[in-house]
Amino acid sequence: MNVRTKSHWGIAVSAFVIGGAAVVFRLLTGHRHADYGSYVPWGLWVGVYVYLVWLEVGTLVVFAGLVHVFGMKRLETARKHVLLFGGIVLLGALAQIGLDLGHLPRFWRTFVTPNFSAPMTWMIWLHTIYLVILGTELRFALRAESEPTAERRAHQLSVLTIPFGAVLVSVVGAVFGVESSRPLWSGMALPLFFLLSSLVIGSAMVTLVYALAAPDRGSAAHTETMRLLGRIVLGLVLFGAFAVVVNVATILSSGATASAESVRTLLGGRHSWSLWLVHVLFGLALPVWLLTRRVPSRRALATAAGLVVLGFMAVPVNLIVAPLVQPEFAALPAAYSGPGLSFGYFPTAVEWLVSMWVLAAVTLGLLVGSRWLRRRGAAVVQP
Amino acid sequence: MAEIAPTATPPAPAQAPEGPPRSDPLVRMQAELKRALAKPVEQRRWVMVIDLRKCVGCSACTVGCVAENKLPPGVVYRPVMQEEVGTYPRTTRRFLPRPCMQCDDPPCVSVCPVGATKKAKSGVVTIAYNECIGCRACLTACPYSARTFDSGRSYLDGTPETAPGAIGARAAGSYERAPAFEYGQAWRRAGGKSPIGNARKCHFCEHRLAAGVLPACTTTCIGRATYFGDANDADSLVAKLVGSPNVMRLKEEAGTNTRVFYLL
Repeated sequence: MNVRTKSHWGIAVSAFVIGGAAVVFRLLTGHRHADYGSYVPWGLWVGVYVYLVWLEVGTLVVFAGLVHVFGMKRLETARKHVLLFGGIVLLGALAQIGLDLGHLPRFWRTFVTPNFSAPMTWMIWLHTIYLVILGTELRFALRAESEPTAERRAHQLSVLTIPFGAVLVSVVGAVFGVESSRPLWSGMALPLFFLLSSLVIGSAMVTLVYALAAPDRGSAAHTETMRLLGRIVLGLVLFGAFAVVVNVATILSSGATASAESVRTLLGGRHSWSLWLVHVLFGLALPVWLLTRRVPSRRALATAAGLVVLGFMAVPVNLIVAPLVQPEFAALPAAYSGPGLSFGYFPTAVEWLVSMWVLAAVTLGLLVGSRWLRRRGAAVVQP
Repeated sequence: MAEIAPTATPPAPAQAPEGPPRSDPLVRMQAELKRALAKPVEQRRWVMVIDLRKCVGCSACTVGCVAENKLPPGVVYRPVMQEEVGTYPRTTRRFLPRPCMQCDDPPCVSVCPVGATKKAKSGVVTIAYNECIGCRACLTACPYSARTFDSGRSYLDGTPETAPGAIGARAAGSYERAPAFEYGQAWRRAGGKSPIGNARKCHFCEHRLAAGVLPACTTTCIGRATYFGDANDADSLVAKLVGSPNVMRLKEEAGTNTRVFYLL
């Protein structure tokens, strides 16, 4: 184990232990030490959950799409790592949203007494189906070298991840899109925006995994594939940015509507620094600069992809909080005071630490998983 | 010495009303409630009418509701919003109590993943506390912010226990240990059990209605600005009021068909 790998393990284990204390605290004290509440019911945890869903689904859909639709068979070498990544991130997303529930032990009710008019029900059912598909596909993929039928079944399941993934991420968007009382979310655009965001972040993650995990790293063919992936990431990033600018400009032109107010909060509110600094600067501008260099190196491509993946972290939280901090009635904030009855929101230390624990658990899962795959003869992932 | 001329004619003394004194609307609504309760539940149509011309913003209804339902910090069913109109010195204030609207097309019901929020036969939107998973989707769906989240906080958080006999956390805690009688059950907030971790909202004091008593906000309103009753009873006070030309509902454009009406 080299120094860099040791430092990865050290950081992940430290974050896991410190965050774990916050998780225990959350389980013992409930939601008393969170800043979300009655008027801003969803906050950082829901944002991190959405981010992880974008990441997980996007990676799997883009990977399967490139391999099966666009015939990029070279990517197949990283398949086990992509599947492992998707499965672990999915579990992380479920852990994060589970900790956000008021009554986590009752989650089974969504299977026993489901309300199918609620997109959240579909979201949970699709998550479950997706987890089963992923687990089964990984199982077949691990046996593919010795069993031809396993290879075929893994291939079939991989194709299934495309429609199921697209529906899953769109349904997660619909959870917000059906909220007609929140004009910024409401409508058909949000599920599509979720899908687009997922594809952008997924293409970047596939590039990163391929850069780190492909067995032919350093070869000319690998570099060529990386450059092609870089162009795909660049195209999706620019198209996504264009779509957002058009949408935002249209909403702002509508005048003093609730949507416009939410967008103004998004762009200039209390949390906007994270959007401009983390997303726009590090997640958009810097990667675009790296990807548009005449002959980007493999390192530059991987860095750009990593920045896109990390930069998108700031998007869901801002998107979720912006419409919630707008009072339904201007006089409501002053009508009655108490904890949770505020339209201001900033995550508490417990919220940050719990999310840190989730991300640390995902990182540790990937580190352990990559070692496990290495022992099985696969290439090593160095996250 | 010059007399100072009066600047204005003093008002004439108020005339005593002629005829028999008007009865308190509470008495009438109480009688109408008994009549409504004698009917099958599906034939009743509970509505609330709030006369904004009479509301003085005293928040007695808010406090009455909090006490009746033993609401913890951060949970409120009926805040009274205040708005100042005009610029000094020509200013006035208006008030708007905001209970749950008990919508006939409630956005909160369709988004609940486990069907814990329902539209009951009585027309009241209810929450099955022991089924609610606490996802708070209903809170974001409500266009009136009428739902609040019970995060488990207590008024006594941080209150020191004092010497025996003095008021301290233990003595003062009797209020918080008292159960809330909601949805046909006594709910004690302890050990993270429901209603802690749940969405909570006004339910037109169904437990009081079942006992033949008007909702707490109606009986505590000092200006008699809140009316409650069965709109399906053509002779009821509320049936008459909801037919007034000066009646309005909040956010009609949301298409929620609320059962709370305001008189302007």
